[in-house]
Amino acid sequence: MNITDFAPWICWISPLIGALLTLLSRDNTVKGVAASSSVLVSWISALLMVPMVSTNQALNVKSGWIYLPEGEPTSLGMLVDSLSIIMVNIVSFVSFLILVYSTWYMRREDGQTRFWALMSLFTSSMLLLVLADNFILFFIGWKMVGLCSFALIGHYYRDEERYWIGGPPPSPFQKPSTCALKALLVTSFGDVAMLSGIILIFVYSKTFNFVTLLNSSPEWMLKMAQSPGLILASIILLLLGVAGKSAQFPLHIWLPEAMAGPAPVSALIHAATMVKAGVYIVARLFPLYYNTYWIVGIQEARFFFQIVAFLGVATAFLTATEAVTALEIKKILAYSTMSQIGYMMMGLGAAGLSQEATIAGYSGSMLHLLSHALFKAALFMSAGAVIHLTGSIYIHEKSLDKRRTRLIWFFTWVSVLSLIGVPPFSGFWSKDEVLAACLESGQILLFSLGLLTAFVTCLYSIRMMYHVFRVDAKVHDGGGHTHSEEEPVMVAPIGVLSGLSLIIGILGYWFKNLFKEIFHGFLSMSLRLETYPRGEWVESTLIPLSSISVIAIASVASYFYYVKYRADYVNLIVRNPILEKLHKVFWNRWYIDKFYESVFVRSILSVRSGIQGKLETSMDVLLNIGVPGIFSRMSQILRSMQTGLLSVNMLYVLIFLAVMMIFLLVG
Amino acid sequence: MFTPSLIIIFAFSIVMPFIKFIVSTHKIHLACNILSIIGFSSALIIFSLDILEKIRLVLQNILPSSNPYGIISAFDSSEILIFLVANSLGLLTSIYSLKYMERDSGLPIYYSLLFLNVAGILGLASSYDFFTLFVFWELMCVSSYMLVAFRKSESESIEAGIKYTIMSSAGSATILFGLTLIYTVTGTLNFQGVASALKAISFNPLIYVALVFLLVGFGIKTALFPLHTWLPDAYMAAPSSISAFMSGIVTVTGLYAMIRSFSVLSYAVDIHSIWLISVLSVLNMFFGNIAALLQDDLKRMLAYSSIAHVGYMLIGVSVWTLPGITASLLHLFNHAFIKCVSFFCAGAFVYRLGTRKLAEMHGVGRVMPLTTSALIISLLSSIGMPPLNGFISKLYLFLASMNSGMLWLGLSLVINSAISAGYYLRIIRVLMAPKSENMEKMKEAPIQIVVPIYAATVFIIFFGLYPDPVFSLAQSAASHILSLGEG
Repeated sequence: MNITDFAPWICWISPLIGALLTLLSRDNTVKGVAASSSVLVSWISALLMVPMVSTNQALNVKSGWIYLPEGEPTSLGMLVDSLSIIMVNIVSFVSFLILVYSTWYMRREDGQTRFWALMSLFTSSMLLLVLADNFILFFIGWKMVGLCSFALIGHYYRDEERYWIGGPPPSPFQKPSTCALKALLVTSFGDVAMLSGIILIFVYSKTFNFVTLLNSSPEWMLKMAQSPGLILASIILLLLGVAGKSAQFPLHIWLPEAMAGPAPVSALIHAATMVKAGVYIVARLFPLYYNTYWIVGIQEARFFFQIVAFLGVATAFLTATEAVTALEIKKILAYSTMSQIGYMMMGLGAAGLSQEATIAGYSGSMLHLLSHALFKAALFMSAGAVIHLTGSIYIHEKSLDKRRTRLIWFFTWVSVLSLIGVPPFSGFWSKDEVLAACLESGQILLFSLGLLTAFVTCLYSIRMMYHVFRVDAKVHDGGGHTHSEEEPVMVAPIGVLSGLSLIIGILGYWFKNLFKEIFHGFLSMSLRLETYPRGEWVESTLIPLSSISVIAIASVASYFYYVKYRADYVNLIVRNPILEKLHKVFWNRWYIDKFYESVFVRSILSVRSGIQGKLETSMDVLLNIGVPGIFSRMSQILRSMQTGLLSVNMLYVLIFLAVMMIFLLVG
Repeated sequence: MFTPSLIIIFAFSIVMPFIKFIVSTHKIHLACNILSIIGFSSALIIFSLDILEKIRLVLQNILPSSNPYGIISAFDSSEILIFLVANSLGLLTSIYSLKYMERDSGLPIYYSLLFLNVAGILGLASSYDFFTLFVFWELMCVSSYMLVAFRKSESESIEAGIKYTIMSSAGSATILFGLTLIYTVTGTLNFQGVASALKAISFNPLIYVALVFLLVGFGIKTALFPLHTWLPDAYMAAPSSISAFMSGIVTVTGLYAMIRSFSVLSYAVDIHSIWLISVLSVLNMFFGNIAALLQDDLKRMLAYSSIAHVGYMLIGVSVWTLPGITASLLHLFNHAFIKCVSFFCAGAFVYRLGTRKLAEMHGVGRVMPLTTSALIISLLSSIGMPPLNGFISKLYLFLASMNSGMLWLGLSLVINSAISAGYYLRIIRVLMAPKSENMEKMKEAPIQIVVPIYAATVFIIFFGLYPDPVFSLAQSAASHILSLGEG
């Protein structure tokens, strides 16, 4: 027995036990400690798995679980390979830090039992999702994280006015419970589509297991390809689930509202981990469709990569522009999260579209996942601190006093620079890798839109930073004393995460190549290419140069626009009709939300009364009076058979015997 | 000859009545109870040690383990499932009886009969010829007549007992008649001998007659419609501990015996082609569920629901394939624990409230939350709510019917689950209603009653989440039964 046989189990079961422990104790501190330490155990066991990364072996620890008459038994199994190990480490490490931060953030909040139990349960489900070796177990984790996310967004379910988001007037406000419901509805729509996709695949492949699915893919994919459109249908169904969970276009509308929950929730679920689940499953299924397209030669499989790339780039650009106009600090970060996940999708899509870009795209997108988890979690935690200290969710109302929050100021800047992609921060290397993959795969459109998004990213980031740490007026009332308002429990996690962004960035070149090595090994194990075209990774100066210059232009522009002239956006757009129009479109999120609302919500509501009047009432009578009436009549008849008289009973026996005899001997 | 655990069970049943000569009268109840708990636990422990020993041998490659069902099937495994159910239900019933039967007298006999009953079931499960099967069958039947009529001062239970005795004796007679026919045709009662003789015979109508007689005989015990008439009365009148035990294992042992003997006869008769069995299965489901809809007596309602569940199990018999029998045995196992919890809880209400009437139970959930939540779990599992074990076995029954081209059986299973929700949910509604005034002074059932209830509830939840152990057990048992006649 090897330690790696147990580590994956301990990894996801430990937070589950932690969740139960939090329910048992009455003391809030104990709850926090129980939850954090159980996640710490997960992280340690995740670290124990790290040596496995270099071996390029997939370890599939199985035990029987559910059997279906046709097809392979579905196992209660863990799949440990490079991909899942890296994911597990990111998830457990970031979760641990965020839970530590939560002990500070949540110390005076209501509903701590709920909060801690759900956070632990979430971590457990997320780890299960990542470690699962089959679609069923994966889907259980997938739904569980969705459920936890719903409950945690609605943490302030009493809808007190101070927890409302949205606005400022004249824009409408949203209540936390509505936001939670929106998240649940949108993601569930994707989940149902995904489940049908999974079942569609099962019908042809007879297995849910990822490894078997990949190994037997040539056979069942060929079978599936015989009915044209079926592979495309399965791809679309699966990717709808991905789009829902990872907040990608066209199901991206829920994430901005998901910020109604407490800041640690946003940091953990809606930035660092859950929204990456979609990226994870795309990366997990990547070899499957890659083999099908490049080796088996089924053209339909190409759609997988095309759709992924398209979704990624569309989301990246759309949401980045929306972030430029947003006024709530957490909303800006939410838009930015979607935009950055778009980059990851873009990288994965580009990786599948060309053999030259495969490794660069895959490892780049994974590296971006890592660096995004680090800097975005740090940013959300800083945002939580900012909101906590200033008491305002908007960036333009109040700002922090730099003198009293020096550490937060510093760490936030580090994370923001990483987000923008300034060398030598980690975001620079990962974003460049993704852009390089786009260029190498010959997708000029992807590349140029990606570059444009980098430009917009720089704009909104600097705008946010300028507003939050403005030196001029309206600093929040600190009462004049200048002692620090930072507490170690709050600052330490932010510091660790942004410090890691910096360290990975400084070691960036080496780290990038390490990831390439890892995923080169991983992909050469799972892809059926004899000799893998290693590709001339464009180490040319073109990409870094172009992205740095784009950022430079953007920062100069935003410096002049936001900082130097202290542009008041209201004055500016009033003067310029084009900007005013753009602002309106961005502020209304390209009218996508409004479109969904009028198509799905209003239209359904408008036919409701007619349906209720005509159909509902008659159905009601039929179902609630008619059917029970029939059954109770039948029940009375049958009960009259039960005479209780022994002679009648024996008569039944005799009749039965005779009838059976006649039927059997005649028939 | 006998397995060690069977000897233990027999020994305890013989020793039990003599206790009253040793222990003083007011302590006799406790003494019997402890003794019976010791008996069932030691039988379970010895049995598990036996299994573990065999697993060890398999792991050391001394015994072969070539087939795909893993370790368990390396040795004769058809009785393991029945053994586990019978013994654990026996153990749970004994623990439950400590408090539940405290107001009754004659308890040495009660426990002795319980042991005899289990002994009959165990012997039947491991029988390899029709003679042994019949002897143990009678042992089980006779002891269960007396258990039903155990409260001899109540006219209700005496009446139910007599009805049960007469009908079941008629069944035994038909079984015996069927066996004589088999003997006439084949000249032997040994399973292997019968099977090889039947293989030689091309067609003999007498075998069909024998099959009908066996079907009627076992069917009376299994409560096939319309032979079920004894069952609602018996379950209602028997002490709840006995209702739980009988519903959990005694009735379905009839089904098990039926499967076992049909498997031997299947060398001459194609069981799958006897469409009457599937008709019976559907009739049972519809009858049980519809008759239960308007009941006002909780135990009677559960009794009708047992009839419906026998119908579900018959699906597997009528499709007669490996997945089908596996699903039937799986449902047998799961149903045992579900019904055990339901009847135990009904008994707990009887113990506290002194009534079986649903109408007098309004709001009992607010004063007996532990018992009520266990009952709700078991009822939801009966409906087939995931992730409880009832869902798993219904799923496999459905899949088995679909696979062998008898989808209409699966569909009627689904329809019936919906109908059954009608009365299960009605129970839940009554339990959760605002409490009526007669509830004011009630309190939670005593700990001795709650513990066995929860012990069984754990099984319901655990095997819903992780059905693999029972499933592989049921699968190996099914494949063993299907190959009973082979050399």
